[in-house]
Amino acid sequence: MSTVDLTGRVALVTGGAGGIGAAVVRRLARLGASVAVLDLDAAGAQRIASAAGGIAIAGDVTDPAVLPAVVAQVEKEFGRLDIVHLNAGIGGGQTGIDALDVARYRKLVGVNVDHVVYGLCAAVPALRRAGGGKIVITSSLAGLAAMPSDPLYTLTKHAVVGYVRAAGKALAADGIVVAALCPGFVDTLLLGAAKEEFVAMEFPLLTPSDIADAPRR
Amino acid sequence: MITEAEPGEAWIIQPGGQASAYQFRGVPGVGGGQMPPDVVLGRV
Repeated sequence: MSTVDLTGRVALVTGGAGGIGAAVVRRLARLGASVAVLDLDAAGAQRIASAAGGIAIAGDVTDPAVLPAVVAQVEKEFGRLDIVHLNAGIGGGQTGIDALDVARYRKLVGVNVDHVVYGLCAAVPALRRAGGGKIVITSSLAGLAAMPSDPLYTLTKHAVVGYVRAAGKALAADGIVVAALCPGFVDTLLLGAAKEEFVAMEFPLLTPSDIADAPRR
Repeated sequence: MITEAEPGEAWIIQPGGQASAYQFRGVPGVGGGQMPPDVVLGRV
């Protein structure tokens, strides 16, 4: 387990009101960071932020104006920004390869892809001002392998991995590390009704804390 | 993971195991091994 001390560092976590995001908020706070929790769920964000001694911000990450405003608010509140975890994400909910629900598809791309681009672009100037930092983006095993049950989700998570690989190289010279998390199946609300199937076959599921606390092999 | 990741890495996390960076395979290059311009590779 890492014993890194993040005292004096400031972090922002999107989708921080529950699941992996909330576990990441708790871990960052345990390591000493000041944490801002951004989520559409204002009450949930407040609950997690209060427990972590941080601040809560309610907002829709698919709105291109939100993340620049949030980054500015965090810098104003804490004086700097060092770590950004772009974690907000939703499942595809696709019911068939040709059964396209355009509104659902646009929302999926908005949360899983657009939010990542908006967040990275908003964060980079702030991280440069801080002398460098880290941007972690929650992708999925579906960002590396095909998930035939949900091709659109697979599309968005592959997009994230490609973006991370390219942006990671482009920003390394600035002292900014960009990396992706690709967890297997996690016991969160994203599993939906499929959770019953996993439980029935005793398939091991990750917990959000497994993700947040995972040590490097 | 947040504190240990290196640029451009994609970390796999599975139950019962520790996190590890996925090892991407390269893609075939042009015959003769010539590389694209540095500007395309982000080296300038």
